[in-house]
Amino acid sequence: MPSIKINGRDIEVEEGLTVLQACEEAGVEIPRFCYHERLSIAGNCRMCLVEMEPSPKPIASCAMPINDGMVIHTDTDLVKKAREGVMEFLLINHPLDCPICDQGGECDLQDQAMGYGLDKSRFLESKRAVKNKYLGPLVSTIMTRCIHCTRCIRFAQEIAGVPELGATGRGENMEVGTYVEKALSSELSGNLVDLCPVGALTSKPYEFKARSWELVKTQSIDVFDAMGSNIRIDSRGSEVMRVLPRINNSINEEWISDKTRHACDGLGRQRLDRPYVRRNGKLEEESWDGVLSVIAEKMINTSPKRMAAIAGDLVDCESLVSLKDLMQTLGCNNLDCRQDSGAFGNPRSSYIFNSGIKGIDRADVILLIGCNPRWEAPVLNARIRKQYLNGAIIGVIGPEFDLTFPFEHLSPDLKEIKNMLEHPSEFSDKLAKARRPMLVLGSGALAREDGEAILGAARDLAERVNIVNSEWNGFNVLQRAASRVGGLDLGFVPKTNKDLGTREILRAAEKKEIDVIYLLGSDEIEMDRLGDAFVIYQGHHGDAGAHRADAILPGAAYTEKNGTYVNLEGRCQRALRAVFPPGEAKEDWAIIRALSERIGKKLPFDNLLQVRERMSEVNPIFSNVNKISEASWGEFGSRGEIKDSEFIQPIENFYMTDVISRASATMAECTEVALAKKEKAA
Amino acid sequence: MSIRNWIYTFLNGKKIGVDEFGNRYYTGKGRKLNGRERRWVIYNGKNDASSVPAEWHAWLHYTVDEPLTQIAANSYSWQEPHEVNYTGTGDAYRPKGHDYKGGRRGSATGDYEAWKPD
Amino acid sequence: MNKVIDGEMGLDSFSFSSQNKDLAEVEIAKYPEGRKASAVMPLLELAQRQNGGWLSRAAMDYVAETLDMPFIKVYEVATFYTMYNLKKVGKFHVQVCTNLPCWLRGSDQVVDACKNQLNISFGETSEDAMFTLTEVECLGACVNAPMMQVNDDYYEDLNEVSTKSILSELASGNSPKPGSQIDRKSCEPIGGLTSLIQQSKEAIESK
Repeated sequence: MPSIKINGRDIEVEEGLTVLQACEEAGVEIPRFCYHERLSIAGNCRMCLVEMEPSPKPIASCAMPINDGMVIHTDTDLVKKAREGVMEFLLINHPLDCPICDQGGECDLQDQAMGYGLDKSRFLESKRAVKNKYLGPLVSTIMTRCIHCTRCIRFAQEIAGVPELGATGRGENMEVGTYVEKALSSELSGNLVDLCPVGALTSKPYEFKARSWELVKTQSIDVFDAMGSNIRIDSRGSEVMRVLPRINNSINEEWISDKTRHACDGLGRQRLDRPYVRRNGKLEEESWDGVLSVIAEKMINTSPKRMAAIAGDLVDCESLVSLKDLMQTLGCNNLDCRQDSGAFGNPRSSYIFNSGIKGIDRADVILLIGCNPRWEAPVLNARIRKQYLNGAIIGVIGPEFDLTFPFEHLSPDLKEIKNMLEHPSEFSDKLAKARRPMLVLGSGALAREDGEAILGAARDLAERVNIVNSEWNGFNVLQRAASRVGGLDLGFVPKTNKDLGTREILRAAEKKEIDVIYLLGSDEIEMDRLGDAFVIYQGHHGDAGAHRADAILPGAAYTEKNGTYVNLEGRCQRALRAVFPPGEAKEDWAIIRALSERIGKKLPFDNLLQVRERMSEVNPIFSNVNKISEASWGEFGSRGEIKDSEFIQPIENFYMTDVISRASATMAECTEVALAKKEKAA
Repeated sequence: MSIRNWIYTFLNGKKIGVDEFGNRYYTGKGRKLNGRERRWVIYNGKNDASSVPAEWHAWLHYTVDEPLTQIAANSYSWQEPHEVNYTGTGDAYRPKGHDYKGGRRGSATGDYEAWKPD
Repeated sequence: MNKVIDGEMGLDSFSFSSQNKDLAEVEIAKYPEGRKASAVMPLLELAQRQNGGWLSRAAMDYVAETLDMPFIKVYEVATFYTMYNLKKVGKFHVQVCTNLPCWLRGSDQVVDACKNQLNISFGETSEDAMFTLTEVECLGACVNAPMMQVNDDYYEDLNEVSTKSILSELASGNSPKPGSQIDRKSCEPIGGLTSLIQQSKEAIESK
């Protein structure tokens, strides 16, 4: 390990670091604009200048590799003067419009100008002005403020994989933009706003809405896909103003998708804020007392065999365990947390992302089966892309998508899995020879009628080509619902073969064999197949479920409750409440607990802690918060035939997949832009 | 204008000009105060210091030696004609939500749109 | 310097002629496998020549596709270098140097002569689409200042009269002689050699 001297202190650092990284390890702060840990090194802002002996001139520390015996100074007059000079140059063309700039208060340039800049300007000439660019409905540009750090360009090219941004012109005429006006075709474009060290790229939906210092920050977990991205919810009063990513290297690094970031305006629209009961075919407002009595009466007087419960994709584990306990104490086992009836097996390893999201960073051959990670988990897709750039080979079975990286398209037909199993192909050889092969099975494939057979075939393939061995498990299922893994872990599924799952519940309801259906935030099932059953809808948005419902229990959205979510790799995470539910809405587990008392089968918990104790009792992984619990490998899936049926894409429109994003005006705008783009391309 | 002011102006004042509001501006004949000539204004109507337009204000406060002309005062397209201060009068600006303008304030944060059946 | 970001873009299709395709292949072959993008500048030049002295967006997109580059990367290169024209130019692209040596030697007269003769100012194209006048930075012929470049040829040692005659000859379809307009050989001193005369005589005699 090379040893270097920083400000007179000897320090040993890893090989291959840059001076800036070494200084960071030594606890010495170095100002920077263009340098970013997750992007390539550009070295064009010059803010990170430090003195290196015996160089007569200061060096750009972000681009200088460490050498044994280096002597670095960051606190000399030369460095101070260099920083002041660079800052003065940067401010020459930067407008001093902080009071009207959205970045004000959380601006790198502002902070560093205070810390390292001069207190006055010597610049008397005119500043340049740059025309604003259009980058789509999410990113607002004020290009005059741009300091040409090129972070956005590098992000678009390296992480997002859409090389559409560039710097055109030269010298004073240099402009960052797309040259040809168009919206960025990325699901990660919102991250540009976080990356921009100045106010050149700001969030369009959040434009002029709030100041960073008046917001209350709450650490939470995202529910728009199954990644469980770590987010920070910024709220003012009772309104969620924006959502930002939190750094978690095991999950989302520091990116989140546009839906995660910008669907939050859907939380203020179409809200269920009071209970309703349907009387004479019309939904009427009702008190909590009234609605609970109506439901309790109905549930007491119905045979448990003629009742069913389906949970939606955004539901937290607390309400899942409450509803499961309630239904089971009533004697009803017709439960399902899978709106799409996706196949799963008994060992936990059959439905989670066994290698962990971090495992992608070690995989060398990746086989994607029937999934479009770009839409089902955009941040995970960026991680696969990163591994592609590091040399991983990627193959796809199933429909072809633009995944932002090239791949070998093996077959559009899922039967190819069986084929590979029976006759080793070129790609299965690659898998077998790989050190850490990985298989990613999409939820769309599992949701087919022959999902069990696909699961079984994929399992056998995994064993055949050494995807699973004693130290590596690369068998991964790419879930896309935030509640799915948690629901399966809690056993929110039919207990025996005689009990009904979603598919059978709908079939039975059509035949009028079901009298009461409890929908816990479930809107993505075919409502017109529910027959004339009495439908109880508990949720937070007025969508398909609420329209069909006979009784509505207003619940809380993910920002409004302390919830537990298990992400696709089986990591149990806790989200904190940022704001209170609107109107008379209540936390979901509490609603179910209140209902159970009315029915006369009081659930044995009175507070959140007891609910969580109950969860740990059902499955010990819930006491293992923020960690992945090991899942054992076993036998699952069936050995049936994979049918010829066409693959149906589970997500038609990335921007609108659930009740919140369907209510969001921003997401509607994104949809429109995406559609226009698709039409133009066709 | 009080009698005293009128007499003083009649005896000592030299009229320099009249602005668009009819305010008359005077300097003292010969007599100086604190080393400089005296300048004053006789208002047209009510005494309202805010009715002195910018070009006369500059002269009155010894910023310029000669009063600026109307042309100098209106030489830019973006310049607006001078207005007196309306504070305390019926014409005063009142933002939306002021008690005299209905008193209903738009909500800033925290409102949501409730779902309605049908 | 006369770059346009929007406005006239030229979206009609473009593809290399068979001859240029061969030339492009030669350029691409100069770089190792997988480093095709290095050939972007020569290819852009080929495209510019084929397209009548300027790069339409279609031409840039074509080059990008040929080299498997993102479009924006080609736009970046094309907008950076001043010798790629992103606006339509006339048949003759007249580039007059106005840097210090040329200016001291009377480039103002040359500029005026051009402006009067062609009836256009800098950055404009004459109505008959024959001439485009551009002000450029040093073209490296200071010793023969003032000078101007018309398409690929340098015209040096100019004055008002010679400038006008060059332009009118070009307009009438003739090709005036490039190089010095006062009959000096390349950049020898005006009025013949002043040094190294003796030695050269001896050298000639010894032969």
